[in-house]
Amino acid sequence: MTAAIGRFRTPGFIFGALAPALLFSLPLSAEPVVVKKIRGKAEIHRAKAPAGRWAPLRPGAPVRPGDEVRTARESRTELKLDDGSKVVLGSGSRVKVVESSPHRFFTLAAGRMKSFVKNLRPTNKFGVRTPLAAASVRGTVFEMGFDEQGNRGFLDVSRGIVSLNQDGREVDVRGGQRIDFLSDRPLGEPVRGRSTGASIEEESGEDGDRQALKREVGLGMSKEMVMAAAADEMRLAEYQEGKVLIDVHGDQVRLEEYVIRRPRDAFAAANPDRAFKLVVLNERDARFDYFYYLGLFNQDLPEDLSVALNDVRGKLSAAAPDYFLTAYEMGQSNTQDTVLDQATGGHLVKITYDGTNYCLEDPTDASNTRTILADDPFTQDGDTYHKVYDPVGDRFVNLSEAQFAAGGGQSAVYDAGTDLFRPIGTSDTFWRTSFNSYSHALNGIAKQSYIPDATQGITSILALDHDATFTFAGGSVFAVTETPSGVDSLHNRVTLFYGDGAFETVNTYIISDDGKIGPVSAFNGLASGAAFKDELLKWNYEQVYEATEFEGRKIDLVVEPKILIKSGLLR
Amino acid sequence: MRRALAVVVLFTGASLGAVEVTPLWNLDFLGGQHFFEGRASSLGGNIDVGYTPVVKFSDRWSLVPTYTGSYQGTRDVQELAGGGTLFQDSTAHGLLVKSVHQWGGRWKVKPSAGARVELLRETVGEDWGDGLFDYQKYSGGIETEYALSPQSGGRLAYDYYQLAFPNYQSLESATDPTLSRELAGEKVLDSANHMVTLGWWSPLPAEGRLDLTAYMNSRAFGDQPIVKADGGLSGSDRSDTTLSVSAQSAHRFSLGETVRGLGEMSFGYGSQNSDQNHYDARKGDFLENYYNYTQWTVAPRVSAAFGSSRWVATLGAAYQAREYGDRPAQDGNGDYLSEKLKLNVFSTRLSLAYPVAKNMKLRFQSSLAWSDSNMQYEKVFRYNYRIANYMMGFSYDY
Repeated sequence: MTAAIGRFRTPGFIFGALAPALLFSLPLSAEPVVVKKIRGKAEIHRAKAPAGRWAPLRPGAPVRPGDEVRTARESRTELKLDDGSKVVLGSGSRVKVVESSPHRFFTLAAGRMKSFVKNLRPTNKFGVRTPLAAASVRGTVFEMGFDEQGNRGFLDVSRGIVSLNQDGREVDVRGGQRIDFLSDRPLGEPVRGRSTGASIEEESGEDGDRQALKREVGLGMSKEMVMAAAADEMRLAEYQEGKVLIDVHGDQVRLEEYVIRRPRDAFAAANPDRAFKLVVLNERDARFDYFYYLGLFNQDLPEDLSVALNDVRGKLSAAAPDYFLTAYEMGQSNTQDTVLDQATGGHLVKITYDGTNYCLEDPTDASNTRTILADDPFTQDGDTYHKVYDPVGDRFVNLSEAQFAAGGGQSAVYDAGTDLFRPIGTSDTFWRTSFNSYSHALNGIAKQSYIPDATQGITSILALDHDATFTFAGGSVFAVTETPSGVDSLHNRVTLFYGDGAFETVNTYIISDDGKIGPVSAFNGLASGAAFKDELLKWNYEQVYEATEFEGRKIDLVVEPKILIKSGLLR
Repeated sequence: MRRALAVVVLFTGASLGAVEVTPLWNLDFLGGQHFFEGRASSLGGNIDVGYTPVVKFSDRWSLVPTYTGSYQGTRDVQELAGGGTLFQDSTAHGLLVKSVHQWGGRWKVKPSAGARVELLRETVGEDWGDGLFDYQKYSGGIETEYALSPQSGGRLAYDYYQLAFPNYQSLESATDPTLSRELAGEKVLDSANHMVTLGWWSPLPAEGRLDLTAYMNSRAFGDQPIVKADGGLSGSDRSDTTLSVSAQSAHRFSLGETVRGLGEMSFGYGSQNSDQNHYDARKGDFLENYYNYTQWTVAPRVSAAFGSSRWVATLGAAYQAREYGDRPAQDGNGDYLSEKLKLNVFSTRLSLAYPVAKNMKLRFQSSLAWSDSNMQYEKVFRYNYRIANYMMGFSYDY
């Protein structure tokens, strides 16, 4: 490319290149018919040469009346006429110039020739004769062929009208038509379409040159495609692990999520085979946020991690689960601020329900039991409320009469037998994990914690509100729950106001890949695990953490539910 | 002025002295949308441009510089591997310069060099050039071609190319490089490639044509350590070899005086051998030779024009069967099965073209693809899906 432009830019070279062409073009233009291009092998038999003496044909050579030109197999020759017309001889053709000016007459003895007739004066004629038929035209493009052995020929007309004459019968063949002619049959009618077989262009003609160039380009492009496919393959493999999406603020988030076994954290250093870690990494233009959950189990984890993780949120079964958490650490950070939750002393709690009370038992200590009233109604300002115990979340919820009637307050548990979530029934046994020690800190500042209530002699917590002693920053905490985007949107906000005057706010959103908040209706009626997971996979979870300690900064995390499903944490 | 002259010559194909410039153009503009599992995408447009000003210095030497550019706002079904509408849109630009030297009428030697960049946007509003999976390719090579006749010959080529994903760095590597995953490096997707190409073409009886092509590619990753059986990383990096062989035949045909057409049939075989493994942390399973596969493809295609109509209809189909030699399939819960992962993709395409002007065609095409696999675990990646698309527009080919 550079070489070509360099040539154009040099006036001296342009003149040098043009001068020979101009000089040689002068004598050529004086001849009515000259050879323009030769591909392969072509020969000429001059009119005055002895019979059988054929000489090699060269580009630029004149072809005069009486001269005969022939092309070898897989060869092509193009003749240029002084009025701008041209004639292309196909492979294995033999053509004689009968008259070259002002009329143009050729005899096609064998093979094919295509004529591009231009600028023909009304008084001039252009004709091609074969041993069987003759074609004469004005201003057109046509191809004529003759099979010497078969003694038959054809005429294909691309544009204009060609008059074909055989044995006195004359037929007009129009553009887009063709006609075959045979020695033993009278001339028929032309038909629509081209004759079968490759045309001269397809064999090696003018368009053949273009096709050859296109082929050359195509060869390069085919390799380019192979190389591009290699890039696609690599990209696709990686895409299975991470993705980019838009968060609720309209910012682009790159997301990676991992499940890790035997994490090398100090927290699990004593028993790495019992530990696993979930990691979620978020990268935005000007920030990086991450989340991790490090769990330590009661025994070495099985090969299939999901066997252990499936029961982390509790198990509905007569038999105790084999695996339960003994400790966990959950961290969130924007690389500057941190939220750290730690729990230790994890142990199983067996829960049964007699229709009135929940019975909580420590399976390792038969003397450690607690009975909790499932529904404890009370009256306030003349209205009836229900203090309902949620055995799954280990919490009490105050409900209005209407809310209670609607079945609120109770978390559903997963029933593997039906693949449905449902409340605990009177014939059920439910197992969950309780921790004897918990702490929650923001930027290293303890905000809340609990331990077993020593004043009651408790050593193993069964129900937090009964068995634990809580400590809050400033001595108290007050929670406010809101739905800032409306009750129909999956956006929830919880703010905790501590006695020390500080607060922490968590906004949680369920969002689509393009950052739109999901409607509550998206999950309406989805009670089965499979359908729920299928729907959940269409959405992402975003949590924005703000706190007094963060001084206006936020921890903004987006999590794809697939990490939870993949790990078995979500059933 | 002289620069303007050069530009005019390059774009118009004018001849200047001994230098003859032949421009080749290809332009496709198609708009449409795709449907994945019944869900329609938004309307999008695809533009493909190819421009080659072939500069012929003499009968023995030509320079073939080719620019290719594309913008894709909607995806072809064959690009939607995994059933994912992976990217919002993409654009690619490439330049390949080939110098073609003819020796003795039968031999050609063609050194070449090229560069290509592809930019992909995953989200709406993302700036071009910021795409995580943007890549650059730089290539150089040489090809020899021997023509037995104008219709038959062979070629042998060697190319070296580098693939670089400049924006891709595992977030994991930025925070904790000890997570024992194969994609935890900084340049894990970058690779250096050596490719050998063998090709042969010859005429077949009844005006047919046969094309045989084989590509052999050796790929070395500079920053992707091999995963060991315990889930840790070894000190050596991943290397792959791929093989792709295809055979294509084409025959002209006519049925009476009313139907003229071209029938094509292609067969392909591909394989990838990689020394990279995978460790599934969830299951604690070491999956050896995770990326190895073999693949077969068969693709018939028929194009036909009917009677005096100027419409050309093309009906094509493709069946691709890929089998991973060592990667096990998984059930719906993600549990590994004894059988190996198999993936079958069948696609069909119907296209109609109508010439509206010289070298310009009105086009309509519609495709449908089915992907079926024994892999039932699809929480991360889709293996079983149906997808369709339609596109219409114009193409210019000169």
